[in-house]
Amino acid sequence: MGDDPTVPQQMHDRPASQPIHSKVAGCGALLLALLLICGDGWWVVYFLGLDFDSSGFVVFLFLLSFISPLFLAVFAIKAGCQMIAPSAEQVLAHDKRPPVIYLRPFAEDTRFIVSIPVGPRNGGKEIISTKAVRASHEGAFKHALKRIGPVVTIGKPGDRLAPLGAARLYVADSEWQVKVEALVRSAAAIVICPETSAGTSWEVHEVAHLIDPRRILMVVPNPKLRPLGYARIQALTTQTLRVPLPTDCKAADAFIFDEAGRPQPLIFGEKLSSTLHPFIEQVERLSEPLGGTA
Amino acid sequence: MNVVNKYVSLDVALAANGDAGSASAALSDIPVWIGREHVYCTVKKGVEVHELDRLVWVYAEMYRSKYGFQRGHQLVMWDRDSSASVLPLKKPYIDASLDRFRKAAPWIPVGYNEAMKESWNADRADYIALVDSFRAAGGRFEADWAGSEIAVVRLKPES
Repeated sequence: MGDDPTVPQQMHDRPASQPIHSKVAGCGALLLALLLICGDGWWVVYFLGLDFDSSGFVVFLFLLSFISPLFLAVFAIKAGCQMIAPSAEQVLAHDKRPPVIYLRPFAEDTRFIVSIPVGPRNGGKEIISTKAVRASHEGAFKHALKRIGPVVTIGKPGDRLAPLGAARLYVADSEWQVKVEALVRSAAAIVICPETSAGTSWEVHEVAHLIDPRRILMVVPNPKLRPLGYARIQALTTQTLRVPLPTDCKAADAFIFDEAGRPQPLIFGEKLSSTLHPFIEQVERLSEPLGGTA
Repeated sequence: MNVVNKYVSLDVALAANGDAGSASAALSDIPVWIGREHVYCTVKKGVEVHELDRLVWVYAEMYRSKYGFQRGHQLVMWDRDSSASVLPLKKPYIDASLDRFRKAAPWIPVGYNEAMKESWNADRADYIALVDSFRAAGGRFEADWAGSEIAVVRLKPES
């Protein structure tokens, strides 16, 4: 991998692999979930009507037989939804508005925020994390930005089921940059989570050079909680943006940009659609679709 | 984990690592003692020795069970391989233990806060590089986002 972000990079040589998309299988999974839930309900009624010795073991068996199908049902519902969720191609064919393109490192899909430092520990008392929330705001972006257009992203190669959230486009490694460039040129807005990896920094460079900065929502590590992550991204923007992100920012979850490319910080509130209102309005004011404004 | 070795006694450990005669009774209550290049930790069956240069974060944590019936403190030492050595520690000796690190290895961040935890979890390479830069410069770790709190954590139910 070279360091020059202007040079297209071939990440690997993986062909496009499509996740399972099947309405029949998805509906089957949802039906199975329904049957499991109904069966569980029937089992509770039946069990409570039985005349039995309520020893601890029997209660344990009952709980096991009650909880296990519920877990299976939740799994089946999620898998079913993933299988029937439309692909990016279907979404773009159905919704003719210019899309919102979500660009992020693939690792962001599976990153969680936990309450303790992560790593193996030797000795002492064992502790647990009291929270584990997804770091990604993808689902919230999808809902908040649907006013602008359908939210589309590149899928992680090897996904067996497309994650719920933005509609995914699965492409071969040899063509992802061509696809991303085409998507960026056609986009109404771009949500980008910059990183210093070769692929993502190429995306930052492309976005910065291809489109009006007012259409960009740049999601950054909040310097209040991840000062080193923010510093890394700030340094990246000194090479890619007309006006880099500020070095002395105290807190920000994202930046929007004015016409001159000057960044304005945003801090995500409980309701992301309210936080993103200035961005959505700004994009809506730019009614013309994008296309080679460099 | 960067355990260099386990020894049956402190004297043996000190002698084996070139710190003979320097610890005296320093490990009687406080479970850590820091030599020239090694950290000596008292554990159940002897003494564990770690390379000082490999440590990148030290803090004390207070654990409690879900309903607060079981409480206690321990010292957590993270190394550059992202694994931690955890030592039981009595509350009165927290400050003294941490001070030993502050004095003997000032480049190591000593203390805890959310920014340190998040930086460790999400930006570890940058975190370790920053610690290394202070170590190379021979200076005290200074970052305005670093904290000196005690971590408050939840005990795993079965432990």
